[in-house]
Amino acid sequence: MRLFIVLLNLVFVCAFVSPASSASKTEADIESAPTGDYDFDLDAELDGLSADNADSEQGLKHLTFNAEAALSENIVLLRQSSRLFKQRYYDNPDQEFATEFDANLKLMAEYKKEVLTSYARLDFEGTKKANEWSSDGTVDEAYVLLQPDYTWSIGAGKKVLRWGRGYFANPVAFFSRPKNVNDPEAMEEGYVLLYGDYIKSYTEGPLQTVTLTPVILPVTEKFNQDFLTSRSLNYGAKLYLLLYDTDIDLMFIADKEGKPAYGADFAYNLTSNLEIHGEIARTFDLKPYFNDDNTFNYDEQYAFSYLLGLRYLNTHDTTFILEYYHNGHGYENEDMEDYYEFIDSAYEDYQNSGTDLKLKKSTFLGKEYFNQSLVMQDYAYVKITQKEPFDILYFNPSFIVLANLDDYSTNIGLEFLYTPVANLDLKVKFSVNQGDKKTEFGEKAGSGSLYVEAKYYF
Amino acid sequence: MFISKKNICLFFWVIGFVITSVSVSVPYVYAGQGDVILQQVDKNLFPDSYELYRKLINIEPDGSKREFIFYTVRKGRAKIASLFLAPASEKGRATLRLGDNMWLYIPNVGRPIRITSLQSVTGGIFNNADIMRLDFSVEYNCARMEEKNRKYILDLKAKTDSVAYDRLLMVVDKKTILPEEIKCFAASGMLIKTLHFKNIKEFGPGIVRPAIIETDSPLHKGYKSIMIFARLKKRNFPDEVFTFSFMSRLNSLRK
Repeated sequence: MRLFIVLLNLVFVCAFVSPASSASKTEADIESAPTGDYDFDLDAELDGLSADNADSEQGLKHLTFNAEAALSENIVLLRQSSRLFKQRYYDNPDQEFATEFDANLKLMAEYKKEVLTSYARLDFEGTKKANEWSSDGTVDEAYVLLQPDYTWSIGAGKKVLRWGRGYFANPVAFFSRPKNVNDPEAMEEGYVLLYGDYIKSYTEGPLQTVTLTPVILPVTEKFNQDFLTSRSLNYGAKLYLLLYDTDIDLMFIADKEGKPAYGADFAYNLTSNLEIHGEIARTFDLKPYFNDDNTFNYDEQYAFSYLLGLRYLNTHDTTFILEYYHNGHGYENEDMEDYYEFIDSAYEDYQNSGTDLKLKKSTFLGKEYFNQSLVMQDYAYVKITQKEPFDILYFNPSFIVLANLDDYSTNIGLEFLYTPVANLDLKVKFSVNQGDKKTEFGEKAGSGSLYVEAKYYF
Repeated sequence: MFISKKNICLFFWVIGFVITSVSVSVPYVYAGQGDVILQQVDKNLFPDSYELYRKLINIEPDGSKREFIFYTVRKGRAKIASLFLAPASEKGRATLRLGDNMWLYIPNVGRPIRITSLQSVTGGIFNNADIMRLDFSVEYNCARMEEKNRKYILDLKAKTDSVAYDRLLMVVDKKTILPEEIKCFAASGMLIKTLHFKNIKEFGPGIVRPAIIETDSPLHKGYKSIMIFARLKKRNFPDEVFTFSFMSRLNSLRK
């Protein structure tokens, strides 16, 4: 029923939006269009684009607004035998479906005057889950950028600074949040930081470009509380080189406690339809491990993480993205089995005594560590996208597989993205979690899901 | 008498026939001259370094339109960058091409990604080759040239297999040295699309060129694509503008 309402909403949005963009015209109109006479004034349109407000005399030049409004519904078919189901739905063991309805609004504003640019992105979200509404508002980005010259710039404020070349994971992204594996291209929330860019180009020789990007990221009571550990002042830099037609980045991050991390990445076009890329990082991490008696200790270690990938386009306009990711801080099979056994023990306690204290502890550990994406060591990611099959313009289906190479469990997805009219994206995604007992995707609370989204840009 | 008036006449007829035949076949032979004309076509279409606004309208069989507006800057023969200004769903999306290297910047993603140069940046019947095209003479050699009715017909062959169209048949007006029509063929010989150049307009001192390119394709019957050029101006940019790191700041070039 809920799905029906969502689909009805989509149809309504389409019907509402269509008349402006797809005015009904006859075949004769199409034939007559290429006569060379066009009934619009591109110059006037461009005037409108370069100064969106009418207050230019007051100096308010180049103030622009944009927004994205999205409605989505996610329906998860629950797997009652899985451990994460028991962990999450222990007080409702007969539940078969979990649904979540989201209404999301993103507002973007940019103000540009001479060498100064200010930008803000606000994110408002209303969520209905288990018949309860909740709402949240976040400032995803808000920064000021000073560009006195083409060669250098300085920015301050909350900004997404994503480093790395990988599509679904970026071990060298030292100053940003982990990617959403289910939607690697989703907008993220930034961190408050101070950064700069210095660019130098060379017209001769194999070295074409050098860019230095220094970054300072403070962690205080007000800012960046969720950034890694308790580092108070983090600083780092990235050196970008375009050398022999290859993108190369070298980067580091450090703090006063002396636990620096280093990384490097590259990207190169082997042919005009084949690109290869890679990343490697040596980082520090602190995380819990279970003991034999179901207690746990935090252990800290340095480890290498790396990613290798390619992007290939064939003559049928099919794009293949293949990536392998090794998470040096990832858990091994035995560590995850200890975690699942801890949930078993917590659930048994709950059934025997009615106390959920241990289950709540497992939920906390799961949320912070064990239930996170890419929690184990080796993953393969495949995304195959066919551009506009059967000559259906603006329709792009994708087949996506995320495989855990340690326990051979997989998440398989089929995604359909369609833009029926300008500025309206419709997305439908089916996904299935598959795996044995005590495997990452075999123990997910849901065995499959259907996600439907309508997003309108204005 | 062996050398009669009749024989002399016949001799001159034969000589005349040979000279006429040779002169008619000369245009087929002078492919080198075709390359020179192709370079002149490039020079007439765009200055060495410029900025430009373009609107692309895709007209679909039901008459509905999909419109894109983008801002383009170019320097020299191999550096070009474009920024989408409209529609809202594409706004801020930028592409950079340095020879065969190509990057795509999507604001959501927050950093440029290297893409294959044949990758399509957005949907519809136009592709990168249409919006991020380098000079014709950078990507094509003239294999054959023909002169016909005040037109040059240039048969162009791609220098490498990294371009979208393996062969172009370009009709050039002899007087203006500007293209009037280009037929684009795949390596299989299949006609992919035809570009029609229209509305010759003066954009500024020394820049006189077609302001409209219409595209139709036998592969997408009923669809048409129209590209309108505006505010094409000579403008010099430092090389730093054409870098991976500058892509997120392309909008700052607009005045």
